[in-house]
Amino acid sequence: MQPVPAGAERTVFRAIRDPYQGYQAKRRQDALQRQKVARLQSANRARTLVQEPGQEESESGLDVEVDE
Amino acid sequence: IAGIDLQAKEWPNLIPSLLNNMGAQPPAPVGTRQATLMTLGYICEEVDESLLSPENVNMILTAVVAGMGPGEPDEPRLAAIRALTNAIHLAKNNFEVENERSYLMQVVCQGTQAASEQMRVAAFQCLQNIADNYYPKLQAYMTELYGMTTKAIKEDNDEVATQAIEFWSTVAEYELELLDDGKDDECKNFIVSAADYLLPILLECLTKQDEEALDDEGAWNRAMAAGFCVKLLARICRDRIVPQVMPFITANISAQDWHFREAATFAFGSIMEGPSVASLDAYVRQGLSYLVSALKDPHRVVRETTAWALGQVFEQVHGAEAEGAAPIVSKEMLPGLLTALVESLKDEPRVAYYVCDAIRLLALGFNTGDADTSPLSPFLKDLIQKLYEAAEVFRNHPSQENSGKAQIAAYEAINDLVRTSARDTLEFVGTLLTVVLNAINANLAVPLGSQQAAEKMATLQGQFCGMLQVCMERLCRSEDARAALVPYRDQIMETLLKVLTMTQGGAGVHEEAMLAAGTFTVATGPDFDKYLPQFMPFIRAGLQDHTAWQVCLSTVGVLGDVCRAVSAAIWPYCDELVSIILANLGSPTVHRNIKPELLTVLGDMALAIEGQFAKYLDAVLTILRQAMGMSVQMVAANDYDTYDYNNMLRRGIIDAVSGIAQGLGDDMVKNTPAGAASRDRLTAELPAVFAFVSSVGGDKTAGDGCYDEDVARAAIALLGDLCSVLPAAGPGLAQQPSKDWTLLVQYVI
Repeated sequence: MQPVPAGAERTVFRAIRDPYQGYQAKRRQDALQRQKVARLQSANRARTLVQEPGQEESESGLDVEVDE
Repeated sequence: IAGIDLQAKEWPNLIPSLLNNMGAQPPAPVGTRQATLMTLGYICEEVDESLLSPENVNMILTAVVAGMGPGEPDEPRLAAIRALTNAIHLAKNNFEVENERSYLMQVVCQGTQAASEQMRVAAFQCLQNIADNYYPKLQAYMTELYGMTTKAIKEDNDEVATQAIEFWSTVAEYELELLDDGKDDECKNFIVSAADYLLPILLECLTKQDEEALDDEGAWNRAMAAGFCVKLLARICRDRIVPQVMPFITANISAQDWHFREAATFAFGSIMEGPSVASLDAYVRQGLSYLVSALKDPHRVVRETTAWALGQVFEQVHGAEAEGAAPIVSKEMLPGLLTALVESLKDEPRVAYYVCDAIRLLALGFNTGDADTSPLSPFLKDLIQKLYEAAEVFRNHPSQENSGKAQIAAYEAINDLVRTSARDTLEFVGTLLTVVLNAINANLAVPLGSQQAAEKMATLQGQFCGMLQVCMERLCRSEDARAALVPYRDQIMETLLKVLTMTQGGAGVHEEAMLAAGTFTVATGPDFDKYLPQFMPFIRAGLQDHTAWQVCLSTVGVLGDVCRAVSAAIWPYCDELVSIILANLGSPTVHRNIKPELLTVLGDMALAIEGQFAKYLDAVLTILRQAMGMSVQMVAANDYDTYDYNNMLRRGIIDAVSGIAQGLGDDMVKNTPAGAASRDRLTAELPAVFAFVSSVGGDKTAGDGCYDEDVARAAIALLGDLCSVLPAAGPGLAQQPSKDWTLLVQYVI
């Protein structure tokens, strides 16, 4: 029974985490975020009771345009 | 086997018979005792706590502690302390009783003084587990623990010292978690109290680098553990650590011996996270030019750490300057800094890796959204070119250690430079896009001899598709740049289709190409319909690829993109798509994280095809009713993981119902025959929807009146959508027995 030393998982090169382990995950996350914003815009466009267009859109900071 | 049998209650005499081995008179042979202790340790580690009675736990602990006695031979003693380490989480009751707790602590502390090195290592590991499990009980023992650990760090050999440092890292991590969770009153501030004495010892350890270990990725030793611990200390002690560490840095940063230069540089990088920017400001301004020159240090390890430290400065301090303060990385400084960084891309891959990371973090610190220009604009083209060339060099020297990592780092640096680029460099981003397209096509022509070569190529193509995605995304943020993409559209889509075709055989759908196609729909809008016949087979394959659930998830998202882009043109594919989606939703083998997204995409489809969605209404609403029922039930679990998943599920349900209400809204409001039927069908679901929204309002898992803001907003918007298209919705809502939905309205307001 050799308990794994707590430090074993901590090292990549020299105790510095590797930001690229999830490089694909980042693009996936970015895509999900963009899709979320686009969906909200698309839903808002369809809403007939929108009172102040653009108010919700500004929340994300992203400015993704979807052609109609 | 014990794990299985104890669970099934089929081995009742296992623990007693093991305990007999330990208590037998005359004593069982040493080998038997050692093996018994190992077995007890394994059982304690693996078996669910609830399967061991308190009496069993007590007897196991007694036997284990007896095995640690100073009179025992080394082997069983070692097995005993390791068993105790594995069993310590079971000793909750014993740690509540002072004399039992003190006895256990005394036995473990004695272990740290044993003659055997392995025994001392194991004893310190046991102390780490104790700190992690019983932090609130440590106070009375802290003086002794401090003495023992610091002595070991200073005087014992590397492996023991490393574990003694790890004890402090464990305490620090525990305190950080308390502070992060706002539980300051539970924090006993052991680290702050010990820091004054602990820091000099740890800094000293930084200079004890083991040269051989620096090339071994799995290595973990005194210097590394100390570096990690100093970083934790900086995050807890914050500003007060700066004056404590700076004298060490200034004394050693120019030392003759590289060990000291490296230690000083590492210490500098380590304190960038934690202290306020104001407390670091002067030192960083002073130190930056020194770091830049140290990129040329004769020793490779110093250069590597220097590049890392620069990255730390850029990540934590650059761009976070106080309002009105001059930028830490000034415009005047940039040419020299960038020249040095670019020059270091030619260094060994390990160094280049951190250089790429530093460039990436430098770019992120200059992130200006969609500003007209950026301080990096004049250098962007050259910087990206050099990174691209460096990546090619690493790619062509795959045998060189770490070249793969450096290559990815170079591409990701390019990606972040593109993401943060200003408008005055968009033309170059367009050029880069064509370069990437050409690279992908050139790679498509490379003959692949083996499965291994094919997998490697798929990874590389993934990196290029990622870059393509980032370029398109940046260009689409600006209307004129998006227009400039028009001439390249066919070439982009043809290329992506080729990548998808190439990887279809073995590796399933190529996720990066799929994600790039999603971004491409934003670039084309309704014109994407011309690509549908060729692209939809890949969407179908992706939706059916349940084994790689994240690929499936990405595909679902891209299908949403396609629906938004082409609207009604998706209609010819809907029969098949809806049938796959419904099958996935009903399948127990489909990963549960995909299911909310599948519901969402049904809403996207309804918005796209509007009245035609009536065809699927009954089947989809039936599934949605089940999903709402599940979500309502989940509230009772009152557990945070379930709550998180429930919020994902809620988003899916809300997106779907809202998309349907709006998609069919026009027909329903105009009261066409189809519209009237849809209205009646949807009206029949209102009680279930209202009960569902009320369950969101009544959910107290996150605390009274605390909601996931996105869910709360979307739920209220859904009620609005329903009221606007269904005449019965308003009165129905008013008569709803539970008024918990009003809590959401109050929250959102």
